[in-house]
Amino acid sequence: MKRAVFLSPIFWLSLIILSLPAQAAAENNCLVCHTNDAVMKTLVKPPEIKSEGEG
Amino acid sequence: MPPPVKAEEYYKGYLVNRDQMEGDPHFSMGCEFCHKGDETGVNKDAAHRGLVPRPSDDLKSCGLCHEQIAAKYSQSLHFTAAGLREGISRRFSAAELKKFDEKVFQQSCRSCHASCGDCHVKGPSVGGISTGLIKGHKFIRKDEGKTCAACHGGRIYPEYTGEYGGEPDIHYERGMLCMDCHQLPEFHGDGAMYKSMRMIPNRPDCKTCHKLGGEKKLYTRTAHDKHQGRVSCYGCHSSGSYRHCYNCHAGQNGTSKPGFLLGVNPRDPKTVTTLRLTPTVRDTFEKAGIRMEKFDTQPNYWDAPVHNVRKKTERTRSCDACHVERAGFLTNGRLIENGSRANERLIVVPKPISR
Repeated sequence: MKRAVFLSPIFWLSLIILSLPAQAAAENNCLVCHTNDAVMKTLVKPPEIKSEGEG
Repeated sequence: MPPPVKAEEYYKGYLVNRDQMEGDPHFSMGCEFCHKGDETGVNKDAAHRGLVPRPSDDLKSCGLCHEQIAAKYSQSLHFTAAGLREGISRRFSAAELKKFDEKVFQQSCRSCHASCGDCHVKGPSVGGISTGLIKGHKFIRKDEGKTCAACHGGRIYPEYTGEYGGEPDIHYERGMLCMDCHQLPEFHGDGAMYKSMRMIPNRPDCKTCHKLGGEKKLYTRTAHDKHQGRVSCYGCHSSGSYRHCYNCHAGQNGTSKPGFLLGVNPRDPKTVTTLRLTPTVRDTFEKAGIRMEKFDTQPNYWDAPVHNVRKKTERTRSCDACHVERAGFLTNGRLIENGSRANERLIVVPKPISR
């Protein structure tokens, strides 16, 4: 019975689909930088102040 | 104004808090869904290729789910910035207005519009500077001190909080913020396209909470009776100096100075109110080839609902402040140089009181 489950294409397909979100998250390089204080500190330069506020 | 951001901490406005993304459907489709760019990019340039930093500038992005709100918001003054056009257009001839629409409005005034994200995600950018993401990219309902306060941080908000010096508005001291008086349709719109904020129905009115006739002291009731329809609430209850802007916009060297001015309300000449100097000067649009042919038909001072209200002020303490000393009233000597000839119509001399 156990052997039959492991050989089923549905089992393998389900495994791949279920793992997709985790894989997508791992590939999201936006979060790699944008959640890293040290990295963002090197990447973001403060702009120059040019004007006062409005209204 | 929002708490000042130190230059060395400016980057923090771009940090995302991964924890609060859990369970928020806004993040379920990944960053690219709203921001485009390339999530798989291995460095900043690659990841930011085609990036949309302000996705909600295109209202369709939020409108995918928030369809009705986005549709109404597309007509809202915060999005159209039409109030700025309406204010200045009365100084133009028809030909000048056409030129203004083509050369100035979209490129300059309209660039100040607010998109959904400016109120719900990130402190809006003023002069190219933003306080950054609110709570690590949390989608918030409201946070007036970080959103309203940025765009309205030149005059209104610091008046309200007392950051200019002087006393803060009594309503601020009691814990009230913008949306305690200003209702949601003033922000999201109600589906109608207004030319000016003054056309929006149900705007804040002191008398909604402070009913006339319910005053406990005879002195107060008498003062209200005598001045009703003649002096605005601000005329007596503004605590003092507020900011006036000089020589600004497309001209150069715009400056601001504190001051307190009482005069005729240009929109309602039978009442006296607090006036604020607006920054348009004769050569404001000279670079765009607009001379403002009707400049002198409109004053430089306009009625200002000053946000520094107090129950007791110099004018509520003594009738003499206005009727004898005439403190704070606009006079010929106080008018700006080379201003509009219409300014003179705002000068009023309070009558002496017969005792």
